[in-house]
Amino acid sequence: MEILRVVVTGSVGAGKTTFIRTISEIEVVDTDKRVTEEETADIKSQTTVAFDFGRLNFESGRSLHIYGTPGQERFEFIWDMLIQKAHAYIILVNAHRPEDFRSTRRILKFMSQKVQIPLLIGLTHTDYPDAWSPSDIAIALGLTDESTRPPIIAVNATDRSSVFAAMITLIELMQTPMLH
Amino acid sequence: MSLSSSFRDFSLAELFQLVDQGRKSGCLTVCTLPSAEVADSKTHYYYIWFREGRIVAAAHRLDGKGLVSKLTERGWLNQHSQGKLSPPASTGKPLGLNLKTEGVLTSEQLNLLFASQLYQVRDLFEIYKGIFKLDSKAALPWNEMTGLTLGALEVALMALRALKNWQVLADVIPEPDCGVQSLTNIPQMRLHAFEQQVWERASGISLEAIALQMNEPTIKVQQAAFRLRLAGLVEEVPLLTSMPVGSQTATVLKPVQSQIGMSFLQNLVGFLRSKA
Repeated sequence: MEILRVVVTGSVGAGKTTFIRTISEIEVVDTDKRVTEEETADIKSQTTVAFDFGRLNFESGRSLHIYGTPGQERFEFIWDMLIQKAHAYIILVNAHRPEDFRSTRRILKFMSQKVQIPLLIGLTHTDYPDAWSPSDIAIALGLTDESTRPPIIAVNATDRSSVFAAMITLIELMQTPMLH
Repeated sequence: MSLSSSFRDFSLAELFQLVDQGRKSGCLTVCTLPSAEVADSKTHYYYIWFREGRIVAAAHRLDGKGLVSKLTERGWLNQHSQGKLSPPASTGKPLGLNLKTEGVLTSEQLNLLFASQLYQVRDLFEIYKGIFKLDSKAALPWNEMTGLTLGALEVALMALRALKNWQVLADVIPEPDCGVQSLTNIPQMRLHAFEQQVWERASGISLEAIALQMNEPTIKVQQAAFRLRLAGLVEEVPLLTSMPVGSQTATVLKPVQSQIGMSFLQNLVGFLRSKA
């Protein structure tokens, strides 16, 4: 069995679970729990505490596995476990929640310090009137050098064609040599 | 697209870095929120204008009379001088430069006026409760401009060096056990001696190890490291946590996982395109 493992990460409420549900051919194995922390409860009623798992079999013996990390930093050990096995990853950023940019920056730093694998940044909620622009979000995430910055695209996690397009972009990145 | 948030979520220092690196123009409105801990605390508005990442003016009013008010307070502009001037908006030149051309102000006075605007900006870095919005379409405030400018990042560094209440930035300064690595051989900006010493030691060791080497409080080193990071001179790197303080060095990145065949990737892309 040949398996491509992609991790979908990002802060709480970025759309990770939705993204995986949209692309997965199986019912997503999720570990959502009712939120008890006050700040997270303001954003969503349930949040991922272990990880989400989705799958897409596209040929006999060939499969795409997608893992969604929990957004909260106290589950850092799960981020580590998942990213160590990943071939590529996507960081979802909620473009209209600048209060999440710091935690997203920490996730980005954490992941990039663990592995050097293809990365795509997907901006969700870009249709909100107060959404930040991709270039502003890039700087807020510490990605100031345009020449070395990973691709940043808008993603609608609920829209099948948008999610598939993001995944295609990521896989195409894997087909080009990485510059370090 | 808008650029707005609250200081609790996005500090003024980070915002100035964004303005500088993004070479932003426009008017930043800062609104302080009343504090429950301070008696008679009120909401105040401040305005900072940028052009391509540089501060060109600052005022606490929008009627265009901030600079004239500073001039009259200092006795540098009498009614006779005012009468001689063309309205700056019609000349498309900063009021300060016009006054210098007319011989009303000296270069030194212009410097002092701009410095007083920057002091207003510096004080805003102490604010914990407030919101901001950058209007990138705002016109340049010729009446408030001296003609002098300073990069937003330089102003942020200046403000952070004078900052008294670091609680405002508690969530963003690097942790004591965080490793820092220098990103450049020669800093392209003037550093204070303390920052220079921290930068010179930023070779992947932890901030607490640097503090030990320098025999300085760790918090002071953390604050300097934050400024250096803001300036793009250092980055945070992971440490081997099992090693004792003082001998901690950056870990080696794990290699990329086992490779996936090109035909696998091509076929998967083809499949996704067919299903999208």
